Amino acid sequence: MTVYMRAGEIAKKPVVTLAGDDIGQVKDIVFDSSTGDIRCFTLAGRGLLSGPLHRALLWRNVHALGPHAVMVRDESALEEDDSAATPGEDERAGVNVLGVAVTTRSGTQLGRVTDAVVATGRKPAVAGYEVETAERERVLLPVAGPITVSGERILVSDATAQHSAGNLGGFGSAVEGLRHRPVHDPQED
Amino acid sequence: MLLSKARGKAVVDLTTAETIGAVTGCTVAPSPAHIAGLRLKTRGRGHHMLHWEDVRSFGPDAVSVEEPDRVRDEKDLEAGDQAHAVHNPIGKAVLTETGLEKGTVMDVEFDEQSGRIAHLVTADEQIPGEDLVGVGSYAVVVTAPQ
Amino acid sequence: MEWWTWLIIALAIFAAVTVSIAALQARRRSGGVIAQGRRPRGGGGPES
Repeated sequence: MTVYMRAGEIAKKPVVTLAGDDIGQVKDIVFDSSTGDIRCFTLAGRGLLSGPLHRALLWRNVHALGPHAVMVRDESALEEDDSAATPGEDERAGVNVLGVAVTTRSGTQLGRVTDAVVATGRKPAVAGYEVETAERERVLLPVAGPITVSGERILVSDATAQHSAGNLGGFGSAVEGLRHRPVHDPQED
Repeated sequence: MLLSKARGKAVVDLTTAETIGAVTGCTVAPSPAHIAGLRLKTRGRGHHMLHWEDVRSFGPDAVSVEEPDRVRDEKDLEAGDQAHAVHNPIGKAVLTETGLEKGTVMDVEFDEQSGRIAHLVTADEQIPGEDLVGVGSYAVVVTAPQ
Repeated sequence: MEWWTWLIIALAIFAAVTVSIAALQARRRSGGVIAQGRRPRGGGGPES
């Protein structure tokens, strides 16, 4: 069974080695917009006065992502710099999805992103978004597969609006509902 | 023996029969889990460390040492040293390899002869010494139950 | 003014600077959820 977690719960989690030392905490979660797969974390220092660490942690070097800490084997799990978190040559600059609007392809604004939902496991991926609607309600929208995103909005399929969940417990069935929706709209992929 | 019972035990210099200090705590190293050093309160300022190898015997009433100059000021130890105070497990959170927190280490049960650790004691459970993976500045890491 | 007024002013400035640096660094430690991906090919992309 896939366990879903809010990205906001992962951010600020300590990064702890198997020797028990905390070597940083999670700052950004960087994911691939075409697959949703989490690529890496950027890190910040642990102290009250410490800022960003400028060292990325690739997903393949994470030993375990637990409810209380991100475990790594040792300090060598961290990259020497944060170039892994900067976009490649054929890519455009990363977009922070927090705060951008979610709009269906047919033009209905569903709300603004307040958090992302991460499916944990061997290959963690962004599986949806927590969205605050115009009525100040927070719903979880399953959004699988490629997304089209700009600094202003995320475009999602029209079917997404019919499959939402009020909490993480119901999110799994919302994902299933979207995946097995009866009529496939040819405009969507 | 429980560490809480060993606290306050006098550390005696076998060459002069004088008391060097009293046991206040310990540091722990993994594979196999053992006491790496004892923390002492001496008459001087600050804390001192004694490597477990330098302990001649760990008796019911006193800990004896043959070479008192082996007692080192805690500040002189390097962070990599297993007797460094960062490896003190008491009061640290227990974290499984999978990143789940389960309580705080309250006490350590060890064998006085070998220094081997039988259990780490938390409020809710006794974690077998063989589960210990590491003790660092942030947490005591143990293997996750299967 | 008394000598201790200056001491209090100096301490207050020091405290304010420390608090503001801590607040700034806390903001720099907080991150986001970053989407990275290929540039959309051809025209007609929503960003163009």
